[in-house]
Amino acid sequence: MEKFVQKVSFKLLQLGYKSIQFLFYLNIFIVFFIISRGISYAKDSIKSSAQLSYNLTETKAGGKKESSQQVIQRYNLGLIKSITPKLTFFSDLSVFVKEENDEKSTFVSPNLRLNVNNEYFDGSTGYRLTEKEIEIFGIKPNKDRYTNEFWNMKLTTKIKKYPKLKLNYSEAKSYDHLDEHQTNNKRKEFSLDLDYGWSFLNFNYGYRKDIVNNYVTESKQMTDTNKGGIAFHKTFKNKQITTSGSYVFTHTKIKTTTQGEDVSVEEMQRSYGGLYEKDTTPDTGSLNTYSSLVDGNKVTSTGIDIGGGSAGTYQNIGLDLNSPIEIEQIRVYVSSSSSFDAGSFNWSVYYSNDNLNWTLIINTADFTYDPDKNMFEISFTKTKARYFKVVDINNDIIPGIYVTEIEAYSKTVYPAFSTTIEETLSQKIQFSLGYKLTDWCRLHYSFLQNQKQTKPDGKRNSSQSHFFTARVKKDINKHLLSWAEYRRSWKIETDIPDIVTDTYLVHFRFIPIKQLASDLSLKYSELKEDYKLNSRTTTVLLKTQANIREGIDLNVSGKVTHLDKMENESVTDTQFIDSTLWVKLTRTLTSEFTYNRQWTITRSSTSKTKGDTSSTMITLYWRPSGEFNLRATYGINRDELKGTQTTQQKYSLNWFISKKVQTNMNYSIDKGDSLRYKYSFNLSWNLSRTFSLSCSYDWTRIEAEEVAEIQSLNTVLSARF
Amino acid sequence: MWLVRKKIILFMWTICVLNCTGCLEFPVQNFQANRGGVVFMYISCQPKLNLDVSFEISALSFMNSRGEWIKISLNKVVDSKQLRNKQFKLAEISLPPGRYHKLKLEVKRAKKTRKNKTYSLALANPSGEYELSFDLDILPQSSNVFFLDWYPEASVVHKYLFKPKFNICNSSNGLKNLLLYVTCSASNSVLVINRQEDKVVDVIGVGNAPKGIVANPDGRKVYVANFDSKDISVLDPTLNKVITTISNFDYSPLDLALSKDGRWLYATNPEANCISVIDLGANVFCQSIHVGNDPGAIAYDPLRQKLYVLNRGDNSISVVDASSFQLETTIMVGLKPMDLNIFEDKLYITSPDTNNIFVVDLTSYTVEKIIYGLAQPTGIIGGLFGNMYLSLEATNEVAFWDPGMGITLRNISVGSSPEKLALDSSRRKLYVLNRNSEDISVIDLNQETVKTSIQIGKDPYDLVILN
Repeated sequence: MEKFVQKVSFKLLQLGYKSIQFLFYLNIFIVFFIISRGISYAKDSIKSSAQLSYNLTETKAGGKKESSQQVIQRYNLGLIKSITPKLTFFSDLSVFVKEENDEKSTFVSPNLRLNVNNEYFDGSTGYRLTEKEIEIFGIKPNKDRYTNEFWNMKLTTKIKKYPKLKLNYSEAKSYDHLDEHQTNNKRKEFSLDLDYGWSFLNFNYGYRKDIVNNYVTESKQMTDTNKGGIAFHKTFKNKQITTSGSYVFTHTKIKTTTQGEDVSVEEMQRSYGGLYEKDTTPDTGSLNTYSSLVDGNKVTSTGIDIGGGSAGTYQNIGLDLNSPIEIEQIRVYVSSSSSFDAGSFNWSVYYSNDNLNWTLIINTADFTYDPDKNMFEISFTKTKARYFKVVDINNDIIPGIYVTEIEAYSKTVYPAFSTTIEETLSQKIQFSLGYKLTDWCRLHYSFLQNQKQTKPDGKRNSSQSHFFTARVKKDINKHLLSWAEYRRSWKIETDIPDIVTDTYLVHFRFIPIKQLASDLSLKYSELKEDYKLNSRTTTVLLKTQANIREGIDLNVSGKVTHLDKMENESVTDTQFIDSTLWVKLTRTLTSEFTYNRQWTITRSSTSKTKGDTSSTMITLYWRPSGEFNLRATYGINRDELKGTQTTQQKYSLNWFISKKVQTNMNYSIDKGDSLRYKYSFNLSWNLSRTFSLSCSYDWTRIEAEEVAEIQSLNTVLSARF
Repeated sequence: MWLVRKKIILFMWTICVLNCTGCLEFPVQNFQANRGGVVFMYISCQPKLNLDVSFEISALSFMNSRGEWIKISLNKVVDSKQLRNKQFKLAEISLPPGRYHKLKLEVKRAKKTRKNKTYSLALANPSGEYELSFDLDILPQSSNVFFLDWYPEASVVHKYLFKPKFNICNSSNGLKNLLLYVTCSASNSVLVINRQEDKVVDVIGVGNAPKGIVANPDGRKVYVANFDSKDISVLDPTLNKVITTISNFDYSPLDLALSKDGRWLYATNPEANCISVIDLGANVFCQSIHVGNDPGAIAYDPLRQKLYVLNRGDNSISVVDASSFQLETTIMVGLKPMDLNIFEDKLYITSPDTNNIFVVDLTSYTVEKIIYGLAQPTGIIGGLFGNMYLSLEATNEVAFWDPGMGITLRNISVGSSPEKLALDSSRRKLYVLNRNSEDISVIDLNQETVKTSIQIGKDPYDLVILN
């Protein structure tokens, strides 16, 4: 107890000292502000703001306790001076100081700008200096000093009857102050854009030149980009026929000149499919398609747990690059509810050209783990192949380390003392034609084309998409409306089989009375790859919305899908039901009950898998007055087949105590493999017209194999003049 | 180090000297007016009345601390029939800075209606002038609001005399999770609306020409892009005031997006064909990323950690990796794309010029479907029960739209030129910003009708809800 009191007293003293420091520097700004304001012209504007924030975070996990303290000071002083009605001068100074435990970080950034605005053009020129990690207010930062300088000039014309012209020129310098620079580069950019609309046509042209000089690697890169296009939009026959289209070309030329060092640039390679199998003999065996591994979603779990000791090892996680491509790095993204030891992992890397026979590249690859991006970066010798996979042969004993995404990277190396020229020419065409035959019948056709050619490798890539839609609408009677539609989409892309999709849709909407509406949709689609039938899908969807009586609303939807996949001779049947009942119990109390359930059966020639999941949620919302409201939610997610379930409870209270003070409290409990409690409290106080104070407290407790507790206190004092 | 200190000291002295040179006078009337404060006046009355009263105001006058009256012509009719359960914007005016103690209404004529019969009322004061006492402190370039609670029945004396009875209230703040914020570019203000009552409760003065607005996921801060003043105002929604301003911008910010952790703010810069990245830890501009021609709307995808930017000039979307700040790819869509929304793992883009909606698959970044035949769709937002809501500029309607079928289920008439939308899923309400009629239509999603409309400031641009 004594130690605790001493610790708290010490921390309060530290905070008190920081506050005194903050007030001292704030006073300097206030005095400066008052002097300037006192003799300034009434039309000028001077603004100033200052913020002091204090954050204390304590984490207890595995018997260890860590605490971290952060104090941030922010100051800003700005001036707007109208030299003439059309000429304005802006200036701004920002100062930032951060102290986190023993780490100190600062920056200072003055900014000057001159603006010209008249009826013919808007123009401006300006200079910005950013000094990072310099000594200020007696605080010496831990990191090395770094400087950014930026100067720019821009002009935009405003006369409507002439083409609109935009001109931009900028120069930027970034460098450190070390004896041997690690960063020292300069960038110049010039761009010109012309836009002109005439009748139903619109023309545009843009030119951009970028020159980047890297004085550390002694390399220079010059990029010239020419971009232009024409677009149109026209209607005929009293808007019965609408057409629109555009053509855009882009030509980019990149010239890279190196001196004494090789320069390498990394590039992500596009994945055409994810692959997965749990296989303790990874040398042979096909991996199954697993599309969620390459859907771009780095947050949601794919369900692949690579943790948990031996139970989680030999997860074969891979990707299909569609054709042999040389790569040298694979990145695996994860999500985990608790921290884990990335160093416990060992990764093997394999390649294949047939997704059956795998060749080992390396048994234990070099890798790093980035906790900010939740990403394993696994590196290996440059290898060219179509399929790659990584296998975790060792891991952390903590379960629940779920893979979210996998990516493949290659590096382009520009050798020393060389000049490389790369050119890219791309052309994009888009065209759309709509024809309203009658009030109840419409036709539509769209065409999209992308062509890309690169030099010197001579790669050509072309993709075309055609969309055709025919739709009819019929009001059968005043209660029953119907639509029927036929859609065809046809996609052609280099090195990928042509994909043709035919979809037939029929939709009925039945509104017998104002309070009841039902929608029935029937959809049948066929997908063909290279003109061979690949899959057939039939979907029936029924939705009903009923206003049972005032204050009671019911929404129910049911969906049945039957999917036939020819390539692996599998059939998947899915049934889904979703219902929501919303009830206004009293004038101040409403409730919502939601239930949804999904059944899935997948049958193939070799296996049969089933899935049955449900989710139930009840929400109560009580708002007795405009100053107080309370929301409580209880939810259950069940896997009906496995018999497992997770529950969540959330409570949120908002209370407007007075004009100066309001609080917000949130409390949640998650019950699953781990028990999670979360509580947060927020208080804001308007001290005066100039000063305001806000405080927040957050507490999280996770009970899994270990108990972890995190609490954080944050206080912010703001001043604005 | 000394060189840097020198630069900073020189900079601060430059500011001081330039202030001193402000002794030079430039006679510019318009400029003077712009430096005053904007004042919004709203009037409302109680919902249940036995008698309806209307009166015509020809002018308003404000008396300052020196006893001078500043007169503003108005010519508006106030009718209690229209005011029931609704707020009416009486005036939006600019006043010179100072303290004001009295408000004078000049009434031309008044009428009462009872049981469908209308009678003229005599004015209690033959000059038609009625004074009210109040306190209003106007700072330069500030935004202010006050509310008149009018008692129509008590305003009729002896059955034939009109003597208006008002109660004047100042702005109030409420629970922040009940608030809706709207940027009004020509008013240089952000209006604060209480969603429980659907009424304006406060006005916050921000920079010049506020456009895009976005709120932190935890509801503790709101960011406003000020296009003309090239800065971003940071609002505290508990206090309804600007707590700091992020300047240091080389180009004007238009639309905003926020990363999921609240660490990074992204702003489109149409003048420079780029987006600016702002580090909210330090409140400073970090870097810019070149995108297509004339970028407008922007959206952040928290699952894929990508930014989608609509390029109105070259009819495309730029996909930017938000972790590496690199431009990944560009997707061709329809003419002058206007708005975008991520809904159920797909990206929906409206193209009002072609009456189309483009549906982009976010795994392959290709256009999967084009829905044709909508009446100039401008705004789009994901809604309840798998539906989406579209604002249709050609017909001044909001459509309830099934994205799976591409079918409009229902159309509801709203104000003129509907654009952006905001959904309050707890209260089952949809807020539609109508640019031309300068109001917000509030749609009750249970009844599928327009519940009320809220009059706001000039040239409204964007809105955001705090949940």
